[in-house]
Amino acid sequence: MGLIALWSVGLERPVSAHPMAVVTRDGQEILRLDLSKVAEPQDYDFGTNIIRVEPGRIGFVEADCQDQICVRTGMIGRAGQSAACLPNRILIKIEGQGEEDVIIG
Amino acid sequence: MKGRTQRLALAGVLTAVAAVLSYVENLLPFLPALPGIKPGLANVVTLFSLFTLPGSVTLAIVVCRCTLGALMGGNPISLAFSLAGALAALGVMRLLKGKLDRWFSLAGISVAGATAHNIAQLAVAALILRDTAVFAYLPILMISSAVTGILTAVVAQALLSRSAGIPLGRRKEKNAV
Repeated sequence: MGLIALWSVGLERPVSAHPMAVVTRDGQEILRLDLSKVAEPQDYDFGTNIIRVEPGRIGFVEADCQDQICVRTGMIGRAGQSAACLPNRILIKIEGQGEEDVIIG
Repeated sequence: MKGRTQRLALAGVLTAVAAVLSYVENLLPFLPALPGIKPGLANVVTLFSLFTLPGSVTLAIVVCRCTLGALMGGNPISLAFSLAGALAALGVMRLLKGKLDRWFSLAGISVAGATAHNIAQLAVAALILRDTAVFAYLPILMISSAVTGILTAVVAQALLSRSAGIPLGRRKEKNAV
C-alpha cells in the first residue's frame, strides 16, 4: 500500500495549471510547449515521428518503427507522465509547474 | 552421454517454448494505462530451467529466446531491451537460487527476478533517451513485478513438481548414478 501511495504522489499529481511538455531527442530539447496555452490541435513532424499537440495533452500519432509502442501509449498531459520512442530516441515528458517555473522576462 | 543429449533436447524445447511465449505476449492488447506491463511468461521457462539444467544452459536458453524474439518482430533496440531485462532477471534469480527454502520461496526468487528485469529495462531506456524521466514508472512496475512474479512462480512450481519424476538430465540425478 505504501508503494501505491508513493505512486499516486509521483505520477498522479493533480493536474498542473501549466503542464509543460518537453520533447527531447538524444537528450537534446527539440520542443517545449505550455499545454494549457494550446488552443488548437497541431501536428509536429520530426521526420521519424509525428507528435500531436492538443489543448492540455500531447502524444505520438505516427512512428516509422514496427512496434508502435509510443503511438499506443496515447495522449499524456499530467505532470510526471512520459511517452517514449526508443528506436528513435525521442522522449516526451510532462513537467509540472514547480519544476520548470522559470520566467525569463 | 545420454544425459547430455537429453539436456540438449530439453534446452531446445525450452528455448522454443520461451520464444513462443514471448511472441504470444506481444500479441496481447496494449494497455495505455499500464505502459510496459507484461505478464513475463517467458520467465516461467527461465525459472524452470534454473532448477533443472546447468546455469550455462539456462543462460544459452535466455540469450537464444531474446534473439529469436527480436528476429520474429523486433529491432536492435528491442533486442538490447529484452536482453538487458532477461539477463538481469536471470542473474538475480541465479544468485538467490542457493537460498531457496532458507530465505526465499520460489515466488520470492521470481519476484526479485521480475523486479530486476524492470529496473534493467528502465536503465536501458534512460540510457537510450538520456533522460531519467522514465524512472517515474518504477513504482508501478515494482507493483506489477510482485503480481506477475508470483503468477510465473506458481506456473513454474506446478511444472517443477509435475516433472519431478521425469528424468530430464538433472544434475542431481546424474550425481546419484
